Amino acid sequence: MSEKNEIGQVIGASLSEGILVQLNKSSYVEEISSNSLVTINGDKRKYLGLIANISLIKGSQHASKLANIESRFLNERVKDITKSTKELFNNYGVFSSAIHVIPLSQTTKYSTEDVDTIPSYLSKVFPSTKEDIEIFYGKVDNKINWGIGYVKYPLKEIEHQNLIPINIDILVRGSFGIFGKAGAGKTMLGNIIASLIILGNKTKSFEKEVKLLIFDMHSEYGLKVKDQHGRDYEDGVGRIFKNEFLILSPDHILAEEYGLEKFEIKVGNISEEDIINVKEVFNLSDAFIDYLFDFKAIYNNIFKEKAKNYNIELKNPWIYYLFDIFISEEHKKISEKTEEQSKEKIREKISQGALYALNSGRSKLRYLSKVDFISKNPGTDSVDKIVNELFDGNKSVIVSMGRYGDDVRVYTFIANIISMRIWNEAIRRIMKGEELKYKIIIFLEEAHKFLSPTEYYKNPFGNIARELRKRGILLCVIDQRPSQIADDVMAMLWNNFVFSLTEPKDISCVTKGLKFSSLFEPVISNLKRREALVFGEMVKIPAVITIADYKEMVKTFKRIYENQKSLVDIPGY
Amino acid sequence: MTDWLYKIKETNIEESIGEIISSSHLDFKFQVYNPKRSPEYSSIVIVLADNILINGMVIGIKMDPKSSLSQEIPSPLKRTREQIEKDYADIKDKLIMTCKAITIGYYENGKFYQKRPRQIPWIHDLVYQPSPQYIRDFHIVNNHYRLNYLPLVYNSLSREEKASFSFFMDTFIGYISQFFEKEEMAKIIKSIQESLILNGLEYLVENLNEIFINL
Repeated sequence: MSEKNEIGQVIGASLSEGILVQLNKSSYVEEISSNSLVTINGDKRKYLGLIANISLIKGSQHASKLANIESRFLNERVKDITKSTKELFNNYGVFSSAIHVIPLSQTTKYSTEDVDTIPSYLSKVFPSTKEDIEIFYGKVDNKINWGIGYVKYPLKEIEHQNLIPINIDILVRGSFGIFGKAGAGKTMLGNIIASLIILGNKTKSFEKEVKLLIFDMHSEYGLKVKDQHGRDYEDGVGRIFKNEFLILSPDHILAEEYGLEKFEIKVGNISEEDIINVKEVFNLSDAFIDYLFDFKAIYNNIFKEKAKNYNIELKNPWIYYLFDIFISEEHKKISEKTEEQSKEKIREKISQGALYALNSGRSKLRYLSKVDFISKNPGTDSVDKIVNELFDGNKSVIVSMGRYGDDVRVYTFIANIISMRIWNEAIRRIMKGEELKYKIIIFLEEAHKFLSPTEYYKNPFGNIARELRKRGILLCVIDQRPSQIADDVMAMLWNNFVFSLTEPKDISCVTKGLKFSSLFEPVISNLKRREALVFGEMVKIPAVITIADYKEMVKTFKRIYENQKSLVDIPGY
Repeated sequence: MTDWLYKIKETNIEESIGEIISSSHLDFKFQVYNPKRSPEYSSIVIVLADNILINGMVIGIKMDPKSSLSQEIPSPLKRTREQIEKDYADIKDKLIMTCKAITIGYYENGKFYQKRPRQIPWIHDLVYQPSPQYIRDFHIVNNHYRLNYLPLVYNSLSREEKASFSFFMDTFIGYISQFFEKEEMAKIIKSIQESLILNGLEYLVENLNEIFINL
């Protein structure tokens, strides 16, 4: 390691508070990037560290006096003398600056390990080289270990593109999280990860093929990823690997425009559990939920009687009534008659209040009768198709929400219905002693709407997270507000990609699983766009990476996919 | 370059301004022959100490009546200096002017050094006032402007003197600036800053800057 690259020396360290490195030049503060990797050459071993903070540690009194003089005498001579004084103060350590380094790993005789020692005084500190990074993180092989992002080089003006390998096989062994504020790069990374999983399937990198179910709020997986200005940027994973995905959209205009499959839910297939799952977003009252099954029983019994003389057969006519959807004029007529009598009975048997609750609940749910994707015809629907595809088919699935992307009620409703049926199907198969043919990873944006502390224990996604991990159904939890996700769920995430977060609660929540968690808090708040802290089993040591250029990655993915050639020959991108 | 030892040795003895009355490795005192030719406060003087020239900076000047044994207090004369000189021709013999200087460097074997010499001045060694060129040569080493003896001066002072060191610096900078151009002074100042910082006296740098700015 060349002496000229030395950036500083260790002047203090503790295992609990990290390593303090005095910079060789105070002015380095303007050249050194936080969140970059450094190598510390101790007397007996090397250490890998992450620059968590940069500070001017000495000389503020002098700086203040100089500033005072400069402000009192506004002339060139003063500027010159102040400048030369500043230079001297910098060079001779009157002004002194330091970096605060989080120790990440240390070398042993033959390998590397978690840190349990600290470097000695005056150990020299260097920017980590490609070789150092390979010693600590391993090599990218584009088979299992994929380089999806570069570590930052500590010296700003110097270009170094050192990739950090992410073990995709380990990644798909457990649920994982992608967190960060809006515009940080979550969706691009989500697309990259989804692409790697598809390629992993193609190259037989996993012990079991992995199917994806992507709830695509803003149609950036199924169609085009957007740039920070909201303009189309590049194909999403569904378009990169057209033959690998079944892409559906509840927005039928979008579906027609882009040739996607129209997502349809047959109203008759909606269950009471599906209604209960959307209680919060539809603001349904407790009374409505409490009496839901009573309402159903009363209505269906009366309907059955009334329908005797008509040629109409419905499994659960109550649900049609609830959504105010009728399959024919005849159905509507019977429903009107049934409604009168049902209301009377509800008033009698339950209470006037229950009737109010029913009316109120119906008026709220009626919103869904106006959407494209609720179909009044009986039979199988898109949810069945999705479930079949995931459990037995050949393709992964993307549900691109189109214009419903920002409609929390619709998004929640659809996601819950699909997940409920996945849960039911998985349980059915497990109870029969069947092993699931594929692993399924569900990409869930706005995950806190399903996995909050109040929701997750009663929500199908919560059940999946809790009960189905060992059976191979996993979650990719994507969210801006990780603190709003139940602790239990966060604890289940084996791997995390964390983009910039600003809320202290969110930051402390995502760093909980890290050694030196408090030292990582400034790291997260200092992340720039496209920069992510990655940690977990997939990467040996936590690292801050700049996610590789998406367009370039897409090119590589397409090439690999199309050529189906040995990935060993593919150069790093 | 001038052989300053030779030059001083060759100088008429009448040119000397005084001679050493006490000395140590830190400083020396000398008696001035003629108060009219007394060195200024903060100026540099040269001691011809056999084969070296020892440079000192005057940090104290004192005038006393000669008859110190009788503890006599001089009687008021109510005259100007000129009148006294006229009316009391022997007054010079009745007054003693002594100066205290801190050793700040030396000249030996054709080279100047801004550090303490290995020898001290002997009593009766002659003291001279340097020429402007001597001052310049003392501060220009290998074409580099250097003035790094202020910490030496500072550290030889009493606590009270240290407290008012910026006043001393003010006078000294005024003195030394007579021998250098403006641009040269900037370099001298930089050298002083450097030496102050290296000796842990960085808190004097801001005072120095202000003195320089007001020069």
